[in-house]
Amino acid sequence: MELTTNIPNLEGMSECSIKPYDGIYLGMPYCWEYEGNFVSNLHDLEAGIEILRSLKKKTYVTTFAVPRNKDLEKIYRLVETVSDLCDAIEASNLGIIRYLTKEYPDVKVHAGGLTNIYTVSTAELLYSIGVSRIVPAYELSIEDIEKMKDVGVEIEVVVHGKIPVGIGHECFLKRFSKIVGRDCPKICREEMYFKSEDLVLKPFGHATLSGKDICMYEHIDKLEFADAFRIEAVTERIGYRERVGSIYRRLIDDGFSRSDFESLKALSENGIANGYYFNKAGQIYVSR
Amino acid sequence: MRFVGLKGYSRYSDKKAYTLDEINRMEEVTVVLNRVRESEDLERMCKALKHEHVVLNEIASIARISREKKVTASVGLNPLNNHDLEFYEELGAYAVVLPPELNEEVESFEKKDVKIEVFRKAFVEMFYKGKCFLSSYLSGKSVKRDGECRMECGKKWEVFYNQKRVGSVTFKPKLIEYDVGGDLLKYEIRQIKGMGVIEHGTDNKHPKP
Repeated sequence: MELTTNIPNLEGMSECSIKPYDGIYLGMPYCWEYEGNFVSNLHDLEAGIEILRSLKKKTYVTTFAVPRNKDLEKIYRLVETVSDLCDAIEASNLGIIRYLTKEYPDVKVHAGGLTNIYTVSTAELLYSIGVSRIVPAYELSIEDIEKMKDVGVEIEVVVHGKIPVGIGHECFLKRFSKIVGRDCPKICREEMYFKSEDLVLKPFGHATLSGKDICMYEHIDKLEFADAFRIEAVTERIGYRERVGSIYRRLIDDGFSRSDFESLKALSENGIANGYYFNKAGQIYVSR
Repeated sequence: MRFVGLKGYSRYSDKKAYTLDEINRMEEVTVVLNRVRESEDLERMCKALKHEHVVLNEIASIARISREKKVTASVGLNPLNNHDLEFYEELGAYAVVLPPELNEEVESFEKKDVKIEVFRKAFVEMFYKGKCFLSSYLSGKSVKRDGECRMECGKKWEVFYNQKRVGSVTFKPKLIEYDVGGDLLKYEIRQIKGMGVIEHGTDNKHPKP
């Protein structure tokens, strides 16, 4: 089982935070302007890839999740820079996915969670055009995801962290720049939350994320059919990636630990949920 | 052009959609099957429709059904750039619906065989159409799979920054009219009228619905 996570910039690349993982996605897919974002700073990206290579980690590069025509040149430059250096490129836009499989047939392409892969037939089509790995749509249950396994494409699932509940054309944080006295890109240095009664959302760049951390620690055996487990940590504070990764590494290697589970819950400032894996509202947590 | 939703297959609730029999008694409508379902299911249903033009939201079904019918790739697929258009053209789509947020940059799209359909009137929402999972996250109803939206975006949200309350915000969809050109024009009226026709459209030679 491959354990993966995502790191947005060089600042997040401490050796400790990388150690528990087998593969790392470099880059912040929700915003070009994020400080030091690998996808906008290609020298940093090359340095990041070199660090991962020296640590013998699988190196994946992500791309901006919702690219318009004005973004294409930046994506071409990114892909040209890393196509010979990384183990795969992740995209969540179907046009970019097709561009990559056509123009770079030797590069492995991963379709990210915002690609909207809801059906076996979509998974089959993507596999047939050269996609090697998919993250199925976040809204799917375990049973629906498992059906895709027969297609032959590798399956990666999020086992922990905040997942997107939507993505659009606007960064909602910027609406509050004047009020909080911080402009882009400094504004996302501190965390913003939207709250309505007991509901919590975390806006971040063009995406809005679940306020709760998706946590499948107790149910990891139900996802064993997958090829990779992902810890979503691209918007998290320093230390989160290392601590959560270490806990899941111990889970994979040594099995369940009550104290580790309690630590995960303590790390989740708004609580935990199972996402959509059990055919319930994404914010509900079902205990084992 | 009139767009009608098929019960069980259209995204904006079954209350506003028609049965297969009702649709097959209509003349000259485009049938919207924009819930995401397996392509075999969509293909079976499209075969049962007498109409030649359908709107689909699942890529494998576009590839299959476009061999026999005129297929419009739904805005729910979130086409954003020239490569998206190339991909839907490769799949055999007749037209691609662009999100209304892109109306100011329609000119940046390269001319291709696949037609560009744009919204002249649309509800602009919290997220791109087709990229919102808020309803299923909060209440378990998926727009894409169940065709039901709980409009959670319309709540009043308190905004906290660095753990301090700094204001409130709501994301109620806003109906916006645009002066925009495309090969095909669309007028979204689904949330104004509780009736079966969910959208009107026309070609750009007759810009009034």
